[in-house]
Amino acid sequence: MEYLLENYKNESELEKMATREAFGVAIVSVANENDDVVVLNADLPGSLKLNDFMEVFPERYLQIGVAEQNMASIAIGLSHYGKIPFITSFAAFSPGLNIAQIRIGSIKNQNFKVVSSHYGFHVGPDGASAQMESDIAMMKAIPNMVIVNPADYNQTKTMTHLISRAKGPIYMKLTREKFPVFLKEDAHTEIGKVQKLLSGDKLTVIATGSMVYETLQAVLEVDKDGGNVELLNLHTIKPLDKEGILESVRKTGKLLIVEEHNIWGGAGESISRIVAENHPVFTKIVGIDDTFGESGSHRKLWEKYKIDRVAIASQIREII
Amino acid sequence: MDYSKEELDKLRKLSYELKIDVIKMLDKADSGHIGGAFSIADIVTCLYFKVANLDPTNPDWDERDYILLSNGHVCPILYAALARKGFFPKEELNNLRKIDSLLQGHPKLGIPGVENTSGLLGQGLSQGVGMALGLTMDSKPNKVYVITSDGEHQEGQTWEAIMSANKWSLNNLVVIVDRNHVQIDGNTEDIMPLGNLKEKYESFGWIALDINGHDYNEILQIFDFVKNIDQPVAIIAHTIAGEDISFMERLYKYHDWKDDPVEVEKALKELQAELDKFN
Repeated sequence: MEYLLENYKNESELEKMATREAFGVAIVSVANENDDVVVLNADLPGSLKLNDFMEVFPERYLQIGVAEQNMASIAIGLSHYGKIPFITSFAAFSPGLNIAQIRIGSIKNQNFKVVSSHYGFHVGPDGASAQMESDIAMMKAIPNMVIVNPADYNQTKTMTHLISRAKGPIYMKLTREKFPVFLKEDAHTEIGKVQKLLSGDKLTVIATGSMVYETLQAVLEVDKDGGNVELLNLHTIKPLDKEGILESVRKTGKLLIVEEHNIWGGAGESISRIVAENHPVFTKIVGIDDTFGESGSHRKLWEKYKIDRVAIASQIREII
Repeated sequence: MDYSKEELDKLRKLSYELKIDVIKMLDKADSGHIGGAFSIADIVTCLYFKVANLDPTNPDWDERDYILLSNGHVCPILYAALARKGFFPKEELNNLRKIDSLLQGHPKLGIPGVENTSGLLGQGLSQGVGMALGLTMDSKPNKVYVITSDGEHQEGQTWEAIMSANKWSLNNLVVIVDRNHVQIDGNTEDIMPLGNLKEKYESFGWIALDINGHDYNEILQIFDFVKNIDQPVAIIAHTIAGEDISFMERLYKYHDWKDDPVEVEKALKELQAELDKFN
């Protein structure tokens, strides 16, 4: 197992952590490594787990208040001066409220990072307005933008380091809810490359972010003996790993994509385009089917809107 | 201190030369924004040729002052100043707004001397706050000058930026508001009243000063004053849109300009007549 922890199948044994907690830890070590890193926040430091950063680097923490547009443009100014700013909020507010400012900073590939938590149904009880089903669509259409969506706590720590070293605008998505830590802490992660978690020859399943472990459980349920389903972890939504994806679908001839995002404008559409242009195969996307959410726990919402492991397993069964 | 007539005349003369460059640029480009380019021309001249610390041979010089143009559409005057200052060859002015050229219709990072990408109003002051914050964190003495239009004070983000500059008492940040009272579709007070901008800035904790944006002595004295203050400063420069062109002055319809050979000739003649007075 190159990437998976030994006991990845036993959900009850695995530690449960939110990826925003990993960001809170990793951003302190990133800032220790690089004096230019600064963090901006729009009145939600607790939600982004920035308490440690605020304590260790008070002079490099900028509380902007409830002003996400100002936050993004200030970051772009800081970046032009030579700092490496991370702007942090909920996905509904950033990029939800400051996409135009982010776009301006991306025109000349300025070096700033947009780190957003509470995507998809992750702010469950707060309801539709604070949830975020459209952020990938907004961000992937901006030229030069890189989008990463790490699959668990360990990968988020690694990814925080990687994006701080990579130049240019990068969007990183974080989860509010705790879920299993199933990837090895020292697993090799490279921006723009898929990770093959399970090998199989009848169906390629590509999952991203919060859906990776959920999909893994669905695959284990359906493909009990293994070998039928190939599971790829799409931790980078843009740029897409064209070769990695095509290599798998050439072998399996069928594709299922799973994401916690509107199927209109999500990662699935972009993957489908690459597959259609290069090696057309049967393709299906499991995602939020062009609807807003509502109040409820994220698990209940996953179930109701058919992106939970039961819904994923039933799709896999149907395709195989 | 008062500046000598000789010194002021040198700058005044330069501003007419820059305005002639702008008319020629827009003539070649067939279109562009002129009203605001001319209302801010005197301040641009003072900033680039007297006030700011700049090195055209090294646009990224660490010790430079930062001049941002938030209302990017008035860039013809910026480009004319940058070219004459030596940031890029003057021939580039002939290709404004043309494909495969350096000079874009709105300023873009990558053009030597340009410090911000603009074109969406209301973002430049926030970007200036970011640069001023970076300099403050590193205890650097450089100044940040942000040129804004009065019209873009209708954008809410401008007020977010004003609020935040006060929070950090950014004493290295100066905003210049080109208070020319016109915007694309009419007079600012008809479109969406801005009222007394000096009082508004003051209520946000800034030092705000009203000046005549065409009086060189006043402009230079204000820029001297802002060098040693401990708060952000707003210079509300009362100006005339299309200044120095008799048929354009104060008229919002010259916010942007589809060039017309008769008007080009007339404008050049008027500017040349002003320039000749210095000889």
